[in-house]
Amino acid sequence: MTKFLPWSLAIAFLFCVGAAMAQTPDPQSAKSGPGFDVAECQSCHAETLFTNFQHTPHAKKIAGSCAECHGDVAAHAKMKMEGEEGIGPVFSFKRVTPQQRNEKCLSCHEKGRQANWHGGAHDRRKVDCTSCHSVHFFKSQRAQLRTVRESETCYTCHAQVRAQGMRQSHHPIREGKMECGSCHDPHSSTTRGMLKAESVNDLCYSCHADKRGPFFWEHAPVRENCQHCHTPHGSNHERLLVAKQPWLCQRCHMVTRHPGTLYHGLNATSGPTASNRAIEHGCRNCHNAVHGTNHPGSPYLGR
Amino acid sequence: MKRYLFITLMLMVAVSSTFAQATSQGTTTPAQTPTGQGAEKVEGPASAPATVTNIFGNFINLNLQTAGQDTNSSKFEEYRAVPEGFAGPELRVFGETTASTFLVSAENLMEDDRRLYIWADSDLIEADVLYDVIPHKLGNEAKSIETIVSNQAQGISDVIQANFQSQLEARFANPATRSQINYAYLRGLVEPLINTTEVFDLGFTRQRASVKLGFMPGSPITTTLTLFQENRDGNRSSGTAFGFGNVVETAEPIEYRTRDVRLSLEAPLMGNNLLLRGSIGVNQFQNAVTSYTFDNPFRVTHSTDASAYQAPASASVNGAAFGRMALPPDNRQISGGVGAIYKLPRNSRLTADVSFGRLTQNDELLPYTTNLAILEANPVLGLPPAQQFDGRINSIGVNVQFTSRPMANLNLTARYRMYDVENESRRYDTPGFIAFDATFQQGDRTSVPYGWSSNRAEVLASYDFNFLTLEGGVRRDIMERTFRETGETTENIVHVAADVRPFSWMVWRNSFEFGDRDYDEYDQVRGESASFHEDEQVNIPGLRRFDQAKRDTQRIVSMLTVTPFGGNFAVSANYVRYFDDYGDSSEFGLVEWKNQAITVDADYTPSERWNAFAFYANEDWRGFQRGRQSGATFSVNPLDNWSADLNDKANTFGAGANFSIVPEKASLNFTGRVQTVSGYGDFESPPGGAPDVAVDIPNIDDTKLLTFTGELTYRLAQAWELGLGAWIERYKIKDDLNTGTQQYLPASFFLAPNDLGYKGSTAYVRTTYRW
Repeated sequence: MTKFLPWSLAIAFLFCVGAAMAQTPDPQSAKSGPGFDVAECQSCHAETLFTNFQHTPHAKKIAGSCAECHGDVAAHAKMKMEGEEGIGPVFSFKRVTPQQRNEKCLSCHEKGRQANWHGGAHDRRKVDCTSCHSVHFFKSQRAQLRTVRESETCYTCHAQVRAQGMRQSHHPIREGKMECGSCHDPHSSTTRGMLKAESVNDLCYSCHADKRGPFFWEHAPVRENCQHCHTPHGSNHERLLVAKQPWLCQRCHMVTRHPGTLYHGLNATSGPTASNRAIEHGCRNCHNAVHGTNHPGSPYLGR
Repeated sequence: MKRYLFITLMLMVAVSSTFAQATSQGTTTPAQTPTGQGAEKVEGPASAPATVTNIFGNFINLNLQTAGQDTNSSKFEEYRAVPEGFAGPELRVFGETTASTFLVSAENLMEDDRRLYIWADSDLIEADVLYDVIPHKLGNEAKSIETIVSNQAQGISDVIQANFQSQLEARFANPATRSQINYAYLRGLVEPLINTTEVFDLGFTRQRASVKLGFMPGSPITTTLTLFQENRDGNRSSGTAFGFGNVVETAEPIEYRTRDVRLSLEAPLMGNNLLLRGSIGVNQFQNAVTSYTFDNPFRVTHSTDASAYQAPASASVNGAAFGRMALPPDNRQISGGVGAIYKLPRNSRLTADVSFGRLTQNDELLPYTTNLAILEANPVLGLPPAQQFDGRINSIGVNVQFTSRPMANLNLTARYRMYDVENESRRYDTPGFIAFDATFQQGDRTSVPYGWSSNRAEVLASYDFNFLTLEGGVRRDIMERTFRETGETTENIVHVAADVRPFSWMVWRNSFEFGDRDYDEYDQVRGESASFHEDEQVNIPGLRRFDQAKRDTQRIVSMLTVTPFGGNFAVSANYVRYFDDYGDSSEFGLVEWKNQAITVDADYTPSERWNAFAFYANEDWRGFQRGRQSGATFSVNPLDNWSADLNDKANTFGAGANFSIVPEKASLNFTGRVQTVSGYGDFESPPGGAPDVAVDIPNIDDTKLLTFTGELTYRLAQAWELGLGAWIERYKIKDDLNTGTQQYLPASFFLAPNDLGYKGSTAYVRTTYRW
């Protein structure tokens, strides 16, 4: 049964795509606002418009650009020219609820990753699009974020992750080679931790395919969840481990002889009784293939 | 592989040439100075971005810099290059033609951590191209007793091996000297070998290229093709032992290629009320080195006996002349999925996704052992159980979610998720276990393909009062595992959240989760002993593995953000507490795990001329576990119990400021950060038992990292800018288990690379040209 499932799904998918291509584009998607474009609004809102904004799709590709997001800007302009107070019927992002802001953005962007926005942790906790993105005053190279680097945006709320990133064992986030978005999708509502994969392991395999297997001899918790042993945001133990070896391994392995032995201060590198089961890589000094091995003679993952 | 690389490169060349052409017609934009609120720069002098970071201004800059560190620690350049002399350049070109818009961004093009990003869009296609080189230095000046002969073989001179073997055998043959085969004797024996070893650096480099193409970006149907390739080359340390008494750490070769091709489509239907989506892709991992061999320093010929796994020691001096380590096998993953989101009345959405994956591995299996003496005595071990592995794992995921806002203030969410990992790898019978290629321990075993599945259902509801949002929900996680101690674990979690907004400038978010996990039964024999043909006790009774043990969890997050004074000043304070209590069922194993953190962030921007920011984090990580020491049989004596309370306390402080000294002319920015981690290993054991009195390890995980960056920028003319900057870093580490490692310690040869503390600094002059 499972053998045919992928093909069945692929055929179903192609069928759906075919049906989609037969559809006529929704005329509502090409709606435009009344009057006024960027140039006209610029006479009063130069600071807002004469920025990076002018080069973005928001400015260049949307007919009646300002009105598309801000509503009846013509009435607003008429009001202001006549010296009236207030902002009139325009949609001000500063004066509406987070959900109203999100609905405005999602009216165009509810596709791709953003299609999963509803019901996610960020949506439920009233984080809105403008908490992270800025249409007019963005600083990032991609995604129009409020900060130069994506991770800085996330650290605004997830401050502990920034501190973890300074640990001696860390992913290259502070060096700019990864971002939070390398693993997480902040728009997601369907996966735990907003991961960009079906499971923790599937996500880790995208960069660590060497650990993927399957192997002749496997290590059960490794197959289940990398986070049983690793903490991805940073650690002071080698290779992002959640605890130091041998005690990490001893949380599960308490057999006769050496696995159950207490390794303590007398077994340090500086002592006369340094133990090769405690120092350097601990258990991995001998059991190196902890992720699994193709060596048939090595069920204890030593080869 | 070469075909993928060629296609990737050709695409990059084609896009680049388009940019080059368009650049001549591109628009110029005025440069701007961002306020940089809370913005931190990418670390490293070579990576230092321009102070003026208007990404749509065209510029190129080049650094002339000096750099150095007091030692040759690999940590200084772990993920980055810190060159001397001319460094960079950094380049950004933004432009547009009548038909397209494009961006070319490059960093450190001449360095070992270079990065090139190209983006372009037109009515026909949107292209996203990234080429990135990521160094990962793992240790400098590693010292191996093995000479690297090829990527599949490392060795020691036969003369040396023969010499050591003959001396050991002579000493072992004499009962009077046999007991003197100890560390002091062996150290004297190997001293000449240590002093003649080669020195090399440990580490590898990832070269990644990806091309993402979106076809007809203006079309309602989104079609995306993604191509990816990564080459990983280098080495890393590997624990390759010949026995408990003879660990020989070697450098494992890395020659990996990972390629990925993925096609995804998304289409709106029924007037945008239905969104259909799907994707399919193939990911291929290839390792050019299937295995590698390494020599036993103490033997030139193969031999074996029942105690050889302890050699060289008073019990035995036998063992293999060389060993072979299996390396990650080639594997392939095919994955995909289809899904739909349907919009219902009252702001409701029904989402359903189904995903599948198939993972296969069919590499050749290695022989049971390299030791010819074992093979002579046990001919059954002459061939592996099969030529190729025939491994495969199928996974299926199902997500169904319903979200609704039937009233303006009411939010409802219900979701169900199933994920199943079915390991269909072929099971093999093996005649026993070969310990370190030294000793054959007979006993029929069968390989065990572990699998699991999870089912999760969750219901959440929230209601907005004027200044208060209350949320409540429950979640049920059920995990089923094959060949594990438990058949099923069930976790029930209650979630409560309260967000308070008493003023427009204040938000206080709070969430609490309380969970309770239980199992149907815990049968140790059903665990990994599934591979034994006769029931075997593989763990001490009373131990519960923490991934399945009964557990009470607490998750508390409280976050207060205030932005008074019109938004010029922002302060955010967070409290996080994660606590897992396994004490109800786990007599041994992990008993408690705790993480508690308090963080405070502040940002002050009184004017466009300057801003300042600071942050502080106090973290407390603790894991408490219990064990019992046993000899050849499981101990039943409580005096043999021990406990380990491992604790890391971290304090992190950072601050910085950005000044526009003369607007559009001169600016100054600096950032400093310091983190101190203090770890402690607190061990307890009652006197009189086998561990007797335990000794604490006060210096464990102790590190201190201090960084400071500063830059003064001056615009000489409209097009020219000069930057003067410095970057200082101090790293200290004190860990009684990892620092101070010598090349030869009791029963072990270590590579002992330099990945320790350092003092590093850089000063540079940066010239920027804008157009």
